[in-house]
Amino acid sequence: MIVLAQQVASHPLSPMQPLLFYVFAALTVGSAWAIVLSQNIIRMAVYLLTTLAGVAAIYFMLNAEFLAAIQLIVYAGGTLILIVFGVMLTSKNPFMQLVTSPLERALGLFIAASVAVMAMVALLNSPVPGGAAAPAAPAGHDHVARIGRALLSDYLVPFELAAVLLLVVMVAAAYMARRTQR
Amino acid sequence: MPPLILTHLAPHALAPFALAQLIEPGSFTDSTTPSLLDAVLPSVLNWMLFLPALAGAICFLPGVSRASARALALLTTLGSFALSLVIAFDYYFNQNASGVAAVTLKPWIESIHANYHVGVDGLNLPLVLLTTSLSVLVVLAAWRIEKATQAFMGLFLFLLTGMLGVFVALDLFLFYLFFEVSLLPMYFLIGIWGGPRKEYAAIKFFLYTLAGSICLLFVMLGLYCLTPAGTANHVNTWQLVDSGEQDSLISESVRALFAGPSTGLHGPTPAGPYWLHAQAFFLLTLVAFLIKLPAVPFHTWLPDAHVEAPTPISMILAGVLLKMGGYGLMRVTYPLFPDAARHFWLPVATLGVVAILYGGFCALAQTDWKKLVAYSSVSHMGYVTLGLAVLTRTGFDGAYFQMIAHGITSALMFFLVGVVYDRAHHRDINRLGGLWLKFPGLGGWSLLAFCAGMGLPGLCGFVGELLVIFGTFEANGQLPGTIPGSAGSGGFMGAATILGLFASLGVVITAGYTLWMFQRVFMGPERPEAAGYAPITAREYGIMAALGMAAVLFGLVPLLVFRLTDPTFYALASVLGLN
Amino acid sequence: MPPNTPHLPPWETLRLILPEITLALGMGAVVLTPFFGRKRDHRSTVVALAALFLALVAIVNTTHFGAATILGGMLSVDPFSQFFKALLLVFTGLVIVQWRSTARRNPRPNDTRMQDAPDLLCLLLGASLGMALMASATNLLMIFMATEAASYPSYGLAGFRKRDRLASKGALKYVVFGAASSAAMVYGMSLVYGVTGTLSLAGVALHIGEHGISPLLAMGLCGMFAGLAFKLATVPMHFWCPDVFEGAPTHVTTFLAFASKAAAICLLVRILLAFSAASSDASAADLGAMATGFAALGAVTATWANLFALRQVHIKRLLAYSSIAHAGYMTMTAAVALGLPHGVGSPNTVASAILFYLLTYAFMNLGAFTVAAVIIQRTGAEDIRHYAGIAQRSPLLAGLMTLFLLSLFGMPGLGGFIAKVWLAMTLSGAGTMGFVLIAVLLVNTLVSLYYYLRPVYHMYFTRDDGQRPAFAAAPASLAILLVSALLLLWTGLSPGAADRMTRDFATLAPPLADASGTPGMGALKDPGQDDTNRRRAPAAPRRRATFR
Repeated sequence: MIVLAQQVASHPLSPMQPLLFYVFAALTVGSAWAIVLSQNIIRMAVYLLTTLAGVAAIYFMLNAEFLAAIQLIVYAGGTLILIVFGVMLTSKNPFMQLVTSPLERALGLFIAASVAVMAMVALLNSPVPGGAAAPAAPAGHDHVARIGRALLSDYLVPFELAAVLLLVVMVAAAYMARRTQR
Repeated sequence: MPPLILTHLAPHALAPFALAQLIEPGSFTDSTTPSLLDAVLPSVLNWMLFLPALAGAICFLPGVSRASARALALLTTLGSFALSLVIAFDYYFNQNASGVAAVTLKPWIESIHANYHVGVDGLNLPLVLLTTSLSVLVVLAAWRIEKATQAFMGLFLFLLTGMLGVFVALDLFLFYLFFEVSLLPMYFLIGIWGGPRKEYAAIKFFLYTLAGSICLLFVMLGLYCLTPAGTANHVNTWQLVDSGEQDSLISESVRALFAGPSTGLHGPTPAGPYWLHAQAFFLLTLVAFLIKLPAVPFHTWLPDAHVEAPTPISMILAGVLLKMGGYGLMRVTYPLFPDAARHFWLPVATLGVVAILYGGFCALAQTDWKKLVAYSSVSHMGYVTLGLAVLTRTGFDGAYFQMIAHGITSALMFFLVGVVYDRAHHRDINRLGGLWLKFPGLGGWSLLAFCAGMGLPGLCGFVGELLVIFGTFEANGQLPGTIPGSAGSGGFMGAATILGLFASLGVVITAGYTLWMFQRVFMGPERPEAAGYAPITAREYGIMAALGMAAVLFGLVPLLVFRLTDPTFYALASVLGLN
Repeated sequence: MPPNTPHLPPWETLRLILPEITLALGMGAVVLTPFFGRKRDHRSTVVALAALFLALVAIVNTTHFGAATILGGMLSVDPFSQFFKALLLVFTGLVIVQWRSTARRNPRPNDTRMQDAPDLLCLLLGASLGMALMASATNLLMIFMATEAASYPSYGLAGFRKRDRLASKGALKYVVFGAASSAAMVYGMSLVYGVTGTLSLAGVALHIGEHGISPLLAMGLCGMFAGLAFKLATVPMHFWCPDVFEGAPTHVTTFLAFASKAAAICLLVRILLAFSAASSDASAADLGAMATGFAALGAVTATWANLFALRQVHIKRLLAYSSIAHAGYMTMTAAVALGLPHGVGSPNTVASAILFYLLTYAFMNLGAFTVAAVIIQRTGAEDIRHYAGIAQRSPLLAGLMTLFLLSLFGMPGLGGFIAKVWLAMTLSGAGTMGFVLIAVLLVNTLVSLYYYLRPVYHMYFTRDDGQRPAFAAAPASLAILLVSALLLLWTGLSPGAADRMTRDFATLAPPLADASGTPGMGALKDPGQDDTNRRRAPAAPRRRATFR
């Protein structure tokens, strides 16, 4: 399906493009709603998978294949599995129900709704420069190489900083997980 | 117009008492040749200022014994007193027109043009002398304090530097520094050595006076920022004396910015660009110093602080710390914003009269002897507010003299209360009585002290109150809105006259509570428990005698003060346009 | 060399970020120390201190370079950032010394144990690295990465007492709040990128200068600043602060109270000055509104924190609220950077006032927390009501604590007062709003006196039941305390030299660097033209979530 989407999207004038976009957007938003409304933690994980996949599909439509692939590999493939395993290993009952109180639910709904309204108002009242169409990919163009070059030239410092950050997180995680010697 | 006889009783009508007039100022030396003393005077002043702090720091060193701390404190205060006397004598005999003497002027914080600028003039010298002399007596009064004596003496010496710094600072920023820094030792002195509710009293004292300081700081910042940067005004904002012109207390050009509208001889002049700011700033600084003074309704910290403070601290609190409020009004508030002062004279004067009467009535209601004396302080400081508010030369003289006189009498009264409390271990007027029979000497000095407070002629309390009331009558018809509805015009029963009459009523109330209290405490049969009271020591008699004789001396020869203040007050009068 | 060719930046550029490189290498070295020999705690401490020292030397070597924006507009290395970094490194070093000298001889289960030294030090260095980069960052991506690099070690540090429920609660709160604010930040940045088409701060500023702030951009900026507000702990993002400060070990609290807020305020000042430098008539009104927003944020934060601090009895919570209040004062002042119309006033007064404030705040904060740590070490008292009798048992410590608290309050004669006066002087440049802010500052100062005096009150005025033994601080702690106290007295009584220094260092690199800049220093690219920039933007959220 995703490959199909990419093929369709590669023809910018195709009438299928907006249709597909709405399909994937609906998938993403709908399953995000489902995550919030669901009370079973495993179900939530599965809905999360479809949300992430929907986002990946939109990336594909925007010609960001590398990003879409990363999205699928890292999130759908890695993080989600980690979450599921984490839930199974830590909680006593993986099928336990998470119940939110009506007050919390109302409060959350209120905040989310107000943010959404604000976002819509802001979006409708602001000119978005060049946001109409995705830039067409030039022929013979290699995303991965370009990203790689950018990471090692313009974005060298943030890239290296990410490495340092990983070290720190590893140290902290190792410390937290280590059994305390008495 | 007020009755003729009142206007003729100007300060100089008291001259027949003036022994000091026999020695004319400037008669001893030729003022054209600078003496050797002039060269060292600035360092004399700086030593006087910082010697106590230095000694105070030594007191905190480990290994200092109680006895040596006491001796050090006594020697330091004596030394400071001696140095201040040197400055005073020099000023008395060598003074030029109204100049500032013993000046040290060094750049301090260059980026905001704050200087280390200290010196003496007629406005601060009497208060400096009061502080240094009183501090010697306070150390003697604190001689028997056994709880952490070293810390007590150390903190007291720091306090002394803080108080002297407030008086001698001629830079507003430096003034503010000392003004706040002097709070801190006081907080600890009340909080550690005080009575049962000392913590409450200490924090209340600190918070109240700090609220005032904050108002002052706001005005300081406002002044600094409203004067255009890069001009001489901006540079001179903090100057409390004009170093260029000898006859002006504050930079003329700064004041022009904050001037109000006036109807002069040459037609009406419009208000300065910051006239509204000037009004707000005047009120803020007024509050800052009225809290310290204290004036009703900002006075509630005072009875608490006095009741809880140990005797020597009460003496210094009433004797000197309250004077910072009056001094600040005369040094900062009024010279900076004379037009605003004129604009607001009636509310301020009313506050003064309310303080006189309210303080007096509160004192009438007290059964705690110390609280009674504390409220009498509120009442007496009301005369200072009133004397300043009416903006007459006589009123200013009276307000200033009232501060000196109250410094002497209130310190003596608090000491007497302390002497009795040390023996009876309570201060309830109703449970005391017949002390005259037990301690006739104490009774005699008390009679003198309370008569002086009451304003008996020939004693120091009389001069200040009298001059303030005269000054108030004089103001009639000379201030805007003296009669409500007919601004500017005078009349026999103008607002000032009415205020003056009410202020005179204060004298009667004072006599009432003083005599009532004296009767309960000293008259009547001797109480049985008085048999066990320890005799009064020579040290205690010495302190009483010193303060009592000062009360008589200044009552008989008020010119001792006025000779020092007159030249500066002439300058001040021209600045303020006093009548 | 064609653009985007991977290459090692030239030495001229590298030496400007040598301090950060040194810190990163130091982190690695600290982690490796346990593999060499048994005395891991001593060795790792020495290595960490050496790394800090070398980084400090590297900073001193950069100070005469002037201001430059390097690495394609990623980082600005200028006197402002270098001053903060030097202060930060000295502070971190002193925190390490404080930790070593206030460790208990017989550690309790919750204390930081000596064998965990490498972990602690690695996290401390990592946090310092992130904070140092925050003060330099001039690209949205860099800002985000630096903020995260400062945050993640802080989460670890906050939960360092992992057997302690309170610490876990605090750390969890910290992580959850942190994740939410990171999400807000990165979402906001993506909106900013969407509207302006650039990730560089200079480009965003230029866009705002030309077109003003559209509602969508305003929303993006709000999200971005929400992330900063979290680091600053301003209302309403402050809830983590007291819990984290109470639960974390005292040395960590000391570090976080100053460092995380200082880095965030430096970044905020840099962003706002960039905006104000590129402002024009088209954007003046929008920037004015933003200034009002920040001023209100700061004022509400300070007031809120001071009111809540009044009820605190736990010394670390009390100081936590105090640090929130101080962050509020500084935010108010940073707002003035925007409120100044271009051409009026010099933006550098804001920077110098902030630097002076940070200088004094670092040391009064360090001093107060060090005394608290010594008291905890010797008596176990964390509740200020248990401070009774400390004035008798250790007069010097009680006196020093009083000094630090009074400096935090702003007693004249101490550095804290001058710092507040400088803030007020800066605020006064903003007209009526400035005077309102000064009034807020002063009234808050008055309120704060009450709670700053509470420990003093208990130390001096409350009677102690029994005669308990006297105690004193270890020599190293005492040295820290005396140095801090002397510095506060010096800046308070004779602020001239420190003032001149902070003024000299209050220069920021121009946000719009010249393309033909110093050789070897990549100048800013023309924003919006870079196609790579456009493609890179959506990658940012992924990075955050990867480490969640």
